[in-house]
Amino acid sequence: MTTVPAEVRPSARETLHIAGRDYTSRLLVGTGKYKDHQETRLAIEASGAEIVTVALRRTNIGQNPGEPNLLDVLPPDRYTILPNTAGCYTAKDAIRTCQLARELLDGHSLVKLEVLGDEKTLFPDITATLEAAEKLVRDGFDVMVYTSDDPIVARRLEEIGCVAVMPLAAPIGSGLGVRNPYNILEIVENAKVPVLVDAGVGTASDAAVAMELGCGGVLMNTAIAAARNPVLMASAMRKAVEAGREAFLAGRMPRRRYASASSPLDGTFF
Amino acid sequence: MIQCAAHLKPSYMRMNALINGRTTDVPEGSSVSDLLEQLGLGGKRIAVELNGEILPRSRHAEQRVADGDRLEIVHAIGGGSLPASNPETYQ
Repeated sequence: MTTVPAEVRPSARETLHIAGRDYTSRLLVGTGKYKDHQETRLAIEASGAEIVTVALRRTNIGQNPGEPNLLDVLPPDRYTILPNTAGCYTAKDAIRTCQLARELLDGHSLVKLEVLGDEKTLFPDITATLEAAEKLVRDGFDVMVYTSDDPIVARRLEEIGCVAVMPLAAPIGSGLGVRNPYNILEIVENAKVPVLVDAGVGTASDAAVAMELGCGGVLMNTAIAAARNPVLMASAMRKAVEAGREAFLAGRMPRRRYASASSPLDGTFF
Repeated sequence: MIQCAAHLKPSYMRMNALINGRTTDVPEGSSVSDLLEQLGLGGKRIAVELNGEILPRSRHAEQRVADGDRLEIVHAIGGGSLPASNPETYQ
C-alpha cells in the first residue's frame, strides 16, 4: 500500500531493466549462510527480490540422496535465478561454472561473474574478470559482473558488453557499507547499463545510501542471512532499497554548512 | 592377433570413473543416465561435465561411461558471494 499520490509516484515503468527483462524489485539477494531452506525461502519472500543468486557445487555422491534441492525452494518460474561463480579464482573456472549453470538451467544465459583475487579480502581479480567477461559475452552469456569500485574498470566492463556492472561497496561479507561513495557515483554517472552495488552492505541505511547515489539496485546476502532475525532484516532491506530509490528520484536538497530557517521571518509579532 | 576376450569377462566386471573427485566403481556398459540413477540423482536438477566438457542432458542416455572418465555432477546450492554451506568445489 502506498500513500504517495499517483501523480508523484514513480511510474510503473520505473523498473530495473536487465538483459531484456524488467524487474520491479531493485533488491537482489543471495541464498548462502541461511539456517535451512525454509529460512532462505521466508527471507527471500520478505525481501521482495525477483532475482536470486545461487552457487554451483558438486552434488553429494552417495550421502543424503533425498537432500532437498534449492531450486525446488526457488521455482525458476517465480524467480529469475542468477547462477554465480562464487569461489572461482581463475577465468577458466568461472567460465566452466557459467557453462555448467547454463546446462543446469536449460540454456539460461544470465550469470553473475566474479573472479576472486585473494582469500582475505575477496577482492576481484580484475584482469581475470575482464578476460572471463569477454569470453562469456562472446559465448552468448548475459553477464552481470562483480568488480571493484574503479570507474575505469567499470567502463571497460560495460564496453565489453556486460549487462550490469556491480561494484563492491566494501569487501564481501564485511558489512562495512558504502566505503567510497564518490567512486560509486562516478561509475553510476558514466554508465549506460545498470550499476548495482554488490557486497559490503551491512544494514538498511547502507542499502539506502547506495540507492540514493543512483544505483539501479543492490545485491546482498550476508547482511540479511547473518542478521539476528534474517526475515525481518529482509523486510527492512526491501523498504530501504525502495526508500533510497524514491529519494534519488525525488532529488535531495543541497547540503549547507549553516542553518536555514524553515519558517518565514516576515510577520513575526515578537 | 590379441583379442579382447570380452566374452570371457565375468558379468560383474567393473571399471573406474572419477566422479566428483572420487574414484568410483561403475559397471561396464553403464550410460550416464544409469550412473545418475545408481547415485540417486535420477530426475534431479543437476548438470554433468564429462572430461571437462558439458554433457547436455539430452545425451545422458546414449553416452557410455568409459574406464578412467572424469565426471563432475553439480547442482545449485545457497550462495551469494561465497557459499558457506558446502565448501567442496569441483576445481
